[in-house]
Formats: sequence, C-alpha cells, structure tokens
Amino acid sequence: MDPVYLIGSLLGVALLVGLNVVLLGRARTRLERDAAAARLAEDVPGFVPGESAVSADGQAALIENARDGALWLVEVKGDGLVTRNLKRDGLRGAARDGGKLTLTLADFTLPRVQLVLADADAARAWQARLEGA
Amino acid sequence: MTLPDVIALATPLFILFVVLEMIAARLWRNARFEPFDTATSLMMGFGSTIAGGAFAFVFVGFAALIRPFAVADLGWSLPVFVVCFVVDDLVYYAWHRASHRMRWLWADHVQHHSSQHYNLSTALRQPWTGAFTPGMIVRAPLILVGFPLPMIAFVHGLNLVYQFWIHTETIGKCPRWFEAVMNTPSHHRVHHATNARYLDSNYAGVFIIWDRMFGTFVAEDASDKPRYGIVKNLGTFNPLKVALHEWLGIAKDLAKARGPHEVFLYLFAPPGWTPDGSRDTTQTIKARWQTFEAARNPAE
Repeated sequence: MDPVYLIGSLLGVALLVGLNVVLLGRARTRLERDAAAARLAEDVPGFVPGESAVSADGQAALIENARDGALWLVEVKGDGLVTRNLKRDGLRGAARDGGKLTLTLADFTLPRVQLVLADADAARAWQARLEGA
Repeated sequence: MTLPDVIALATPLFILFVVLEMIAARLWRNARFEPFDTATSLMMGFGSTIAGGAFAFVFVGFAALIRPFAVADLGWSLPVFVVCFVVDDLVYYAWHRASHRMRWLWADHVQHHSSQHYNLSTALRQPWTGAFTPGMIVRAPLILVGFPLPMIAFVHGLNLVYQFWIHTETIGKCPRWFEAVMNTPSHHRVHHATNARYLDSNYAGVFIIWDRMFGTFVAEDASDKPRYGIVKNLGTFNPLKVALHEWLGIAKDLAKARGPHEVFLYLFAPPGWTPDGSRDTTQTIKARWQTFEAARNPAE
C-alpha cells in the first residue's frame, strides 16, 4: 500500500478530529442519579430505580433495579453512557480502599471501573452487596 | 473493461461532508459528535482499508476460482449493469440480515454498529475482519450467472457509497415516494437504534423495498427517538478492541462449549445465545419489552 496514501489518511483523520474539538468541544458529561436511572429505564424494560451511589467524580454510578434486585453499573464514556448488569455481565471482584471501590469485570472493553463513594462505610456496604450479587 | 474504484473516488467527498455535518452541528445543533468517538470511527475506516488491501487476495482468489463455472457471460450492456446493481442490493440485504442474526457474522458487523453516535463519521466505522467471514461466498451467485467481475465490484462500490449519506440525523424525512422505495436516513436510523421496537429491522442497502417485501421494515416513530449503539455498549474507544471484542467473546465461549452442538450454536445462533439462556438476545429483549408495554397499556 502506498505510504503517501497511508500518511495522508492519518493526517486527514487527525484534522477531522481536531476540527471536531474546535467546532464542538469535548464532552464533559457528569453523571447524576436521575440520568443513570433514566438511561437504565431505556435499556431495561420495567426498570425501577432503587438504591444508588454516584461516584464523587460523576463518572460512574451503581444503581439497583428495585423490581428484581439486580445491581447495575452505569459509566460515562465520552458523552454517552455504558451500562452493565453486574451479576449477569460478570463482576469478578470489588476491592475497597477507604471510600474507593474498584470493580473488576470479565469484560474485554470494560475491565475495571473505580468509584469514589461518600465514605468508607458506604463503600463497605456496596462492596458487601456486590459480593453477594 | 476497466471501471473506477468508486469508493476511492468518493473518499474526498466523504471527508467534505463530514466537515459540513460538523459545521451544521455547530450552527444548528442537529447532529452529535464526540471527538473520541469520531476518532474511533475514522480509525476504523482507515484500518478497514488496510485490512481490505491485505486480504483482497481472499476475495479475488475465490472469484477467480469459481469464475470458470459461470453458466453465461452477460456482457456489459446498460440493462445488465442495472440488473447487477439491483441483484447485488438484494444479496446485500440477505447478507446484512444474516450478519445480525448469526454471531459469527455479527462479530464482524458489530464493529460498524458500535458507536453511540449517528453521524457521517459512523458510516466510515467499517469492520476490519471481513476476510474471516464467508462474505466472498454470498456474491458467488452473481459470478456464476455471468455478471463480469469488475461490474460486480463496481456496483457493490456504488452500493456502499450510497449508504454513506444515510448515516445522519441532520436529514429528517425525505419525500414520501422516496421513503417508499429507497433507504433513507430515517430508515437507517431505525436500523442503528437499540430501542426494543427497532431491533432487527431495516437491513436494506439501497432499496428499502426488500425490508417491505420480507417483513423486516419498521418506520421511525417520532415518539420513540432512536438511541444508537449496541445492546451492550462498549466501554472503550480503542479501535483494536472494537475490532476484536466479539471475536474474543466467541473464542471464550467456544473454549467452554460442551460438544459440537454448542460449538455450532455459539457460531450460528443469534448474538447473545447461551445454552442456559443467561444472556439477552434481541428476541428476548423485544419479548420482554412487548410484555412490559402490554401490561402498561392494556387497552392497546
């Protein structure tokens, strides 16, 4: 393949992405409970938001489906959200360090998620729930 | 006869229209772009051209192998071109439908659907792994009935170029007669949507008539705005992970398969199939949604 074509294509990609940033800026999505619940209501027919915890950085949330007790993760990805059913989608572990909770998932595209919860007690309580999920 | 590479010819226009759509998004907020998502889509397009070049021998070799068995030589007249274009579009419909209903094929096609955005850069988010599917076999009938190979490649290129402009939210509905016959942004938004009512619909390339004929057409409903992506959206913008994630998922499932029956179904059943039904398929999602809607609106 012609190296000039390859380099030209990569330059074209860089210019378009740069133009995207200049014209439209970068996403600054900050997750709140209602947004997480609304997204899950779209993804999961009949979803009823139950207990929840939103990470202090607004980048992830844990939320229960009160209908069946399933625990869900919602994570910010760009200006979109990614959701995972933590039981069905393979939660491998939930490690805690003070108020910080690190979830390890059996998921090639989302292997690890960190949440900073309100305090160590909140993190401990969610860790216990997740390990029992 | 030598025919031009229509995709290569159209590439500068692709870039121009992505720029124009970004300007439209800036001025009128009628499209959504996110830089990481745009970068992923464009790099998938770039990688696809590399992969296409690297594995072209698979398609060319297969075509050369079966060409001697063609039952006729249909020649180069305009009517033959037109028939070739229409038949190729029907073949595209069938292949595209299979690509959503069989996991082996979905492992390749999912790469195109993996963006949560729907803009012209999404059109360029093309898979890298087509050579690892039996994609070359689907055009065998066109070769065997006698359409010239360059003609088949040319009309297929035209088909893909047509599909570029329908990946946009900036165009609402087209004139009614056009929406009735042709694939349009409205019809294709439905195809890329993950809303339960829209799943597994509108597989058309150029002519939406195939979906209308074969019962897979769903109209865009103004009260249910499409949400784009896949039912389990990816937690990454890494193009390599986008390209490989479903293949890796298949490999992991095959490693734990209990016998040839499960191997077969992991490869050929719809995406999400498992022996114990523990994952969702589009059919289970739709069934759950229909049950929920029926309970919510008992009068309907």
